[in-house]
Amino acid sequence: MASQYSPIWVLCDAYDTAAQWAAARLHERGRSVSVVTAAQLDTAVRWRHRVTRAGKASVTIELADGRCLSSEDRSAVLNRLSYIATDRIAAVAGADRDYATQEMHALFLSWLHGLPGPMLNRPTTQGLGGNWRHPSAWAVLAGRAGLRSKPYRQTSETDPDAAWSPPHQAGLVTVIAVAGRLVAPPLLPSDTRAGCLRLGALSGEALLGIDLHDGNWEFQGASPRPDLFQGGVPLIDALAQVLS
Amino acid sequence: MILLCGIQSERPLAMVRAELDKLGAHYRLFNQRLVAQCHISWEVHHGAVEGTLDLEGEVYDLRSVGAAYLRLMDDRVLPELEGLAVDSPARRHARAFHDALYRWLELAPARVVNRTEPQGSNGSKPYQAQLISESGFLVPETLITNEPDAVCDFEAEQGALIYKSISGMRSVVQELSQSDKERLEQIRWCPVQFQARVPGVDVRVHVVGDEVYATEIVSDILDYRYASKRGGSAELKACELSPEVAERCVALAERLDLSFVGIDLKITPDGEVYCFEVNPCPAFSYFELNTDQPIARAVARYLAAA
Repeated sequence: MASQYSPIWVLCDAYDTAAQWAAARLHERGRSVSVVTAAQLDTAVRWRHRVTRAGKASVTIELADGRCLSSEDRSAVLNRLSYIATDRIAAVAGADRDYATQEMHALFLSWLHGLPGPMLNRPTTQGLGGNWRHPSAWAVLAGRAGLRSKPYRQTSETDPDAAWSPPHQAGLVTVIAVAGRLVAPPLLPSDTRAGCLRLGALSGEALLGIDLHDGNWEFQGASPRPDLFQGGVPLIDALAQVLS
Repeated sequence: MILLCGIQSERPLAMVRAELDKLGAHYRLFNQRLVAQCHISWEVHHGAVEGTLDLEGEVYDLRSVGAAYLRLMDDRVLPELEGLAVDSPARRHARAFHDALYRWLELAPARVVNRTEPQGSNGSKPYQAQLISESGFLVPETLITNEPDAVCDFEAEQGALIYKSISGMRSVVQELSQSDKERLEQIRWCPVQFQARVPGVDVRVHVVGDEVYATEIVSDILDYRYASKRGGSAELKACELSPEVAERCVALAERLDLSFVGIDLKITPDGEVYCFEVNPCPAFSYFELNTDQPIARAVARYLAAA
């Protein structure tokens, strides 16, 4: 008997073990799950992406292993792509390589945007797997959401790259907001819980990881590509429901 | 206060500045070529942003900036930095200043023309086409593929085709010719964007807030931007859009969260209106200097009204 649920595509980077883990757990629940890595998309043998004059998009991608991604399937998508693989382009020299990289990124943004099924997360111009905001933007949103956070400071003497790679902090708790639901420790205070839900809504991301300091629940950062292990079984429950 | 950002001799920036002078508006210029004499410092606290901007020794409270017009060039290619090592103090300062300025402009509670994030839709033409269609415009039938046979099928279905870049990187729009078809095997390594050629009149529409300036372009070259380089000509003249199309243009700019845009339309002999692209940082001077349309004045008024 055919499954009542849509098949699920898990799009991720090759090293994304959390995505592979989530795919296995979803498969255990009887869902049809296919994992496709950025590297496999890079070696796809056939691409056909159409946009009609009415703006309706469709795509067919035939992978080297024979699998085929098609918008006609209306599959659900767990989209964890953070970059496009460029091994194929690597052989191209100089400005042509930059051009080809930009072209492939533009293609990915368009075909992902045009997929009709449920997707966590939808692509944005600031990231293929969701809006990869600067820490300053997260600080503003967290403040608006009512979460306590340390001030964020930037000057013309600050190394611009430093903000993207803050030093590792011990004692963090990751809370995950999934389409208006929260996967969080039971001890999380209700006002912080409400703030996390507001941040999820303000961010526009259907799947958002929110890092809080364990103890005082101060906001430390957020990501549209959270560590799924942190959510455990309750997160898989939520993903299975949203990706139906 | 209005903050102008860019190179002071750059034409669109200079034209807006001249109009601000005529309006008697209060503005200051961040001249990128003097970045070594500029500093910025700001912080986010409880969701609010505050700080200071030091322009050549004059210090301003960032909260006093009500509007900004951005015509910033890539700071890595500033003439003042030519020949300096990547890690030289001058380059490091320029990069850090520009990053801090850009980040603040994304967050500032000011009228910014235009912020960086919403400009991103122009980085993928087929993605932007999907957004454009939601505002009621037709978009060209498009195929992106790495299969030569699919291109031939698409041509049989649509008739004459053009091809151009998928991304925001500038490319010359070309008609798919017989000689192009003979080298179609080359698309196998990287998909290429093909579109049905749409007949009709090219119209560039500049939207500034809710003001609309339409310019008709008559050219004997497919891509009129390159008419003079390709031995052709392009004649520009101001034209009127129907109120309904003009409203749609304003709605499209609003939908993309852009307050000043250049929209490329094609109006077919049947009166259908196609939208090819929305340019989020239009170099409007070419159109204003050929038509006398007061676009710079509209931008200045828009900034001054903040």
